[in-house]
Amino acid sequence: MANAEFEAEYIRRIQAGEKHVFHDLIRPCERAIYFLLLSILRNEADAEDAAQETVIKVYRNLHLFRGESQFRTWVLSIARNEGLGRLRKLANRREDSLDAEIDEQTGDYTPAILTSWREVPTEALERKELGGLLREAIADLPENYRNVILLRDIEELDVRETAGALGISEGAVKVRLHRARALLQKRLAPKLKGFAPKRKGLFGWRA
Amino acid sequence: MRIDCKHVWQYISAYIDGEVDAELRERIERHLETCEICSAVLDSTRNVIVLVADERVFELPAGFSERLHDRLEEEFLSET
Repeated sequence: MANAEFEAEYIRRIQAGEKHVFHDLIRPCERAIYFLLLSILRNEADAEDAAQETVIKVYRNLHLFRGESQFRTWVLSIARNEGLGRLRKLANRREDSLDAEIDEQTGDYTPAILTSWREVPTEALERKELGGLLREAIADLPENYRNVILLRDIEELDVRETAGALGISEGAVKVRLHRARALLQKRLAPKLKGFAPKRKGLFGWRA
Repeated sequence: MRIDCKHVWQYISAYIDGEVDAELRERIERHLETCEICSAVLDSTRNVIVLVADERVFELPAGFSERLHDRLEEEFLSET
């Protein structure tokens, strides 16, 4: 994979003393680091602080990266440990994850039942309240589901990478992703209806 | 054999990700052809996934990247 070659080359240069190359190595991971930590810590200032700490740890421990997993997977597992470590220190770990484990045992799930669906185009995101609605629905998911949907659907990692970053099996990723999407559909579909174009005309979706 | 709605809902996520085998895929598609409820559930689920993935939904805080890279520069300096 081309990415892995770039990364190996960057790492070699950093270790040979070109420290500034680390900026370019870490840049593609920044978003995922921050949003994974925001998902775990649920506070923007804490997530940013933990993201900085994560990146420093990645830099200091770069010699430990063996290239057995993708670089991003390794970085995100460090971010996850940083986030969980902080939670433990705060001792305010919510019961989220426990609920999620129990929830996974039950296979039944009822979606929001609809008889028709008019697509909400991404242009509708120009309306601020739509973004707010989506963020709120994701924030309200149990943590285990939130982490998975964040890495899979928002940061677009594959199943294997997501499993590696979160330290869970690929099967668990798929189950949690399914549940997370189902919960989002159930909650959001009735509300999203109002954002669908009123009628399709010659002049675009808001005609 | 015809599969019921609940069965379809159970596989919606795997179906969207292309992770169901050919036989199940065909059964799901046959069901979707005649079931407007499942079609709407599938379309709305897909729509939700597309919307949350839009980069406008989750944006990094202003100045996040600058602060992060400034911190790194401090780290580099402290080493020398």
